[in-house]
Amino acid sequence: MAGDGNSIPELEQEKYDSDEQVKIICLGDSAVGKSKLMERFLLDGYRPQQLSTYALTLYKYTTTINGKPVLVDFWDTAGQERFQSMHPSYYHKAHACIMVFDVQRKVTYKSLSNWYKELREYRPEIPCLVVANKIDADMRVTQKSFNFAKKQGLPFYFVSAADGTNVVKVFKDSINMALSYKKNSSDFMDEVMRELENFELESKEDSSDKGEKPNEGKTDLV
Amino acid sequence: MMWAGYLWNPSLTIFIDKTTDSSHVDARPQLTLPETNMGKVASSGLTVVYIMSIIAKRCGVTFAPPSIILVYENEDTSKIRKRIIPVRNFSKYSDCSRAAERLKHHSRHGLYLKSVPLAQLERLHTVLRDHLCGLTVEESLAAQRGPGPQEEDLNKLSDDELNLRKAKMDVLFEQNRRHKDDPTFVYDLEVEFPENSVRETCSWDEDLSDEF
Repeated sequence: MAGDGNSIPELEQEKYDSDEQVKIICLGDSAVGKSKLMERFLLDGYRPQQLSTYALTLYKYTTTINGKPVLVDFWDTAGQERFQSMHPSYYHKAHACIMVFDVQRKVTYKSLSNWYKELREYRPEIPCLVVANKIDADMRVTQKSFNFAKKQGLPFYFVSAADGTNVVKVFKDSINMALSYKKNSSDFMDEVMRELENFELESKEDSSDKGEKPNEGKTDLV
Repeated sequence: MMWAGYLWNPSLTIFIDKTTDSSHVDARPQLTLPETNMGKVASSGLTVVYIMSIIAKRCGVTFAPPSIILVYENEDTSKIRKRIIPVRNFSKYSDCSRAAERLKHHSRHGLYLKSVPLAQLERLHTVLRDHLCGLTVEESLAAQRGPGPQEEDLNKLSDDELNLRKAKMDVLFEQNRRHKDDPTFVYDLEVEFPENSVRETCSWDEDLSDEF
């Protein structure tokens, strides 16, 4: 399963293992406003990297948490079905997930269960935030309760990319959650990866004794 | 009065005689003579001027008694009027599209409904029928909309089609947009929506068929 993550050759995903880098994925149906939310959060400061073949837009963001610089890669993904085969690489090594629906369209809310199911197949433990976008279209929705998040025990936000309500809060919370997840990660796959890496290091030590180059063999394990 | 001239026009009198029919569902033709006659004039297409002078503004329904309500402007007098058109011989088993057609071509009411699309009349009749079946107006309209633009699965669209839908959505987005150059712009705008016990459950959760 983890090997699926390397199917985007342009993207080196190993970097997300380093302490100062986190990967946050943005999921949800087409046209729920994922890109609009990203742009509102980053304002002019964004330099999106478009990988249209993979229906993916990458936004890089730098911030300082507890005096340490942190690099955040936001993966803005396409909801369109024909890109479904790309999903494994979206999830690979992600540290948090922002799941968005459009309060104007019930179908996007109903899709949450599918997105969530898929997310949990790949990332059983990463923090996931549920975002109800476009509340500016009809503020009355904020009087209502949407049970999906509550049922799954996920944090829920009423948000508007247009007027800015709670956008920055969502992204800040997601970064904090991603970092704390990374610190206390208990995902089974992460543990397996760590085991493999430790094993790799050991075997490298062994092999270096035999005079082989230290970096060899790594790709086989990932 | 505007129609007095027509009424006393000899040729018109003949016309009225000619079109006298027994298909009226309205039972009080004698009491509203001027209007009744005018309707007959119009349905023949004789007085084009008169047909042009009715501009439908709004069209709706009431349930008791079941009626189509038309708010229209008489262009000749610039007056806004309301016309209540009773819907008769209508039950929950009635064919709404046929009932709508019957009304659209009604000998008297038809004149007023010229600019009302048949589809709208059919929708209104469907609301009436659904009401007889115990549905609310909202439920009836939602059922009629079917999987309309609100419920369409945009994940299935091509890029071009998707961009078209997005462009439509962008209209509202731009309308509600708070620009960063706006003097009242707040970057980190936090708004709390406290969850209290009286919070209403969204109807989207009532669907028991798809459990989360």
